[in-house]
Amino acid sequence: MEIIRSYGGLKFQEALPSPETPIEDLPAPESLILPLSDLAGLSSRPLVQRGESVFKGEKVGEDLHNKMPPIHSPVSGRVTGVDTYRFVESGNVLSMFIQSDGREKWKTEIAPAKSLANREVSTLVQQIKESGVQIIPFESLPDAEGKKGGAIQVDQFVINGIGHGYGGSIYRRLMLEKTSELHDGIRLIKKVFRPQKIFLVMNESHEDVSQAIEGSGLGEEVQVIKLEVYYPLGHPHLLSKRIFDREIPSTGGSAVDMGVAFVGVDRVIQVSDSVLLDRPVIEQYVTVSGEGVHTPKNLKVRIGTPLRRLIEACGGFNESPGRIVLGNPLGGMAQFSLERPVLKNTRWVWVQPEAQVVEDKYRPCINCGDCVDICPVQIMPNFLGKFCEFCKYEEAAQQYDLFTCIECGLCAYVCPSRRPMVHFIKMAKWELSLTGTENDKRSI
Amino acid sequence: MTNDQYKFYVSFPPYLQVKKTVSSILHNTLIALIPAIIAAIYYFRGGALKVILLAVITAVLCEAGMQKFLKRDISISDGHAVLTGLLFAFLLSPLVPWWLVVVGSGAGIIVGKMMFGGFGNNPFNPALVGLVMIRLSWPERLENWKEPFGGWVPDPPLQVFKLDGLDAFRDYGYTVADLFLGQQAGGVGTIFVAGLLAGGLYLLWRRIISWHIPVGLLGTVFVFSAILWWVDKEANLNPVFHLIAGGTMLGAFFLATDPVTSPVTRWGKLAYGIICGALIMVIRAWGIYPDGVAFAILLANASSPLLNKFRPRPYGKEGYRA
Repeated sequence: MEIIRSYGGLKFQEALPSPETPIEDLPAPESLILPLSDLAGLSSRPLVQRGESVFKGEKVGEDLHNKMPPIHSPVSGRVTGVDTYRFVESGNVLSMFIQSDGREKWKTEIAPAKSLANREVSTLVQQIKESGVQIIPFESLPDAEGKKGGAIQVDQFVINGIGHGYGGSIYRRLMLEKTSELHDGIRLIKKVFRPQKIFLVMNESHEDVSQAIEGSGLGEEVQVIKLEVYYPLGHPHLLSKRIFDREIPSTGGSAVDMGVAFVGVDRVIQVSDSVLLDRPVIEQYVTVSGEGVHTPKNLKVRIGTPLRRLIEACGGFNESPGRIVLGNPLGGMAQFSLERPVLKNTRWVWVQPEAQVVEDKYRPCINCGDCVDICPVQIMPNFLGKFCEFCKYEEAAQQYDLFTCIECGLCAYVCPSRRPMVHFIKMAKWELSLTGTENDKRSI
Repeated sequence: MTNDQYKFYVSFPPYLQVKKTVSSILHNTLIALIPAIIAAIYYFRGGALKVILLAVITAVLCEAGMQKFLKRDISISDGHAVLTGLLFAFLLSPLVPWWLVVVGSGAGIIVGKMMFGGFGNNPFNPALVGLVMIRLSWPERLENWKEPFGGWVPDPPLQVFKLDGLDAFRDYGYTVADLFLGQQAGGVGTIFVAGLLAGGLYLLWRRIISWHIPVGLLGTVFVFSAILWWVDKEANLNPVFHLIAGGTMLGAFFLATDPVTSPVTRWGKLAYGIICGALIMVIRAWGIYPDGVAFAILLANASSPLLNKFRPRPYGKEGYRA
């Protein structure tokens, strides 16, 4: 793959080919798996037990600490078990196994779409909370009385329409096909959060999207920013630098603490669906692509659907599959099982044929400096990798800015010694998280 | 589609990688040295062939033996042992006794590279470690030079200038074109400057090396010598001769750009090139050696860890000072 280097990132001359077909609706699977965790540290408790029956859209999981959005059953049916399931990201996770009865029965009848105009902000907030969609960190949402929870005031919303910066076309399709829902979602965000400004970031080379946006009158509500996209421009850190020329401080804190929220297009559409139609988030938009799959497609799938169903919907594997990756090929995660469910943060399933899998041992760093040149946050992945490889995690955090890393994976992509620097860095962060709170470590 | 039907590779990211590998870097460097090898054999015949073959075979055998002894994977196919032996041979006169070539090449690999843990961990360029070791141990044995084809000056131009002065240098009537095309006495691989320049440009074109080190080194040598020349034209060489005589060109494109021993940041590389160039000129102008390339680059290697401390401000870190 030929590449063009741009400052602090990579521009793939030919991005990984993405399907440009309309989003298809995948029917609900017979059985599905819902992890009661976000696989990143938060977890919920089950609200129903084994053998109980659930309606479609019924709340089945809730976080007592109010940090994780509630979990809803995507189908109507019976809970066949609450047991651990092994996820490649975080090991065994308490999950709920649901068997569909095929009747697709909602808990309450769906009321016709209500207009925004005659609804109170507090009820809207309550509905966003109950719907299970995450547009800003869940605990930062205002509480039910309409008061701001904590001291967080979101001044600027940035709606990300470029994804990571290459491959995975689902945002493009959503902006083309769901323009009116996007519009509704933006109006809803305006009403609830009253931000000073909303930005919509899109790829400057996507003419069809910009026509659709202009045609819908969205340009009056938001400021459309067209960018020359490279990987990993879609990361909040880089978008913040690019749009506001402000850097998210590495000494703890997130973009929301600065008053800026970065939201994906799919989340905006989900929030408008869930609030206007009174239905919680039970579906996710996913691109299935890669040379290993027969016909790449854009799909709308129930959360909890096993990957096997997605691959079947795309005509099966093309040739012998090598890896099945959730997320992007530089920073995603290869899965070991086709039973692995689609989660709320699954947007791209990328299948690599076996012929393209390179099994290579990594070698010692040769100090070539390619990773230092390419790093979008200007840290030194070569030294970080060496320190983390030999378990010097504290030194890595103190001297080489371990927590500045955004885990884009470009260092490992360019490394001629094939060193998996991102993996070392993730491992170091995880090890440090076991010894103390992250903020303790950040402030070293 | 049942679950057992397929087995998947599970590994950490990345799942895509550039084509450039350590082996491709080293193999391309070897390709870039081909013109210089051909010229060495053309000009010095059997003498050059003997030195090159001895050095390369010794380096490969020493590396394989050390890796066997240390119970590591044998990695001679990546080409670093061949490259080290070749660069070491390039700096030698074709008249060097065979045992000296073996000792130097073996010492370069064993002491300069394998004792630090192999390719990637050596703080100094192994070829230069070997050269400096024999240069300091048997200085008189290395000073027998041979002129290409016979009938020419049997001493390298820089040595003529150092020992006999500028008048003697002028008497011999060196021209830029002669030196550029290899009509000079010197190390077997250093004399054909045109071939080395072509190899260096090939490496730049293939993005094996970045421009920072060669430009920093050659630019500093040129500016430094131009200042000396401008101050006293009767005691100093024309700056162009400094660029094409001795090991300057080999050092700029092949010795100083060794990734392991040079800094990692772009500005660090430029500073490193400038340090190399300045040290070369300091040794040539005031040192006892006529051509200081090997010593200068070896000394500059020691500055790489320091230059690696100067780095760009990491994202989101306030109040950072390099």
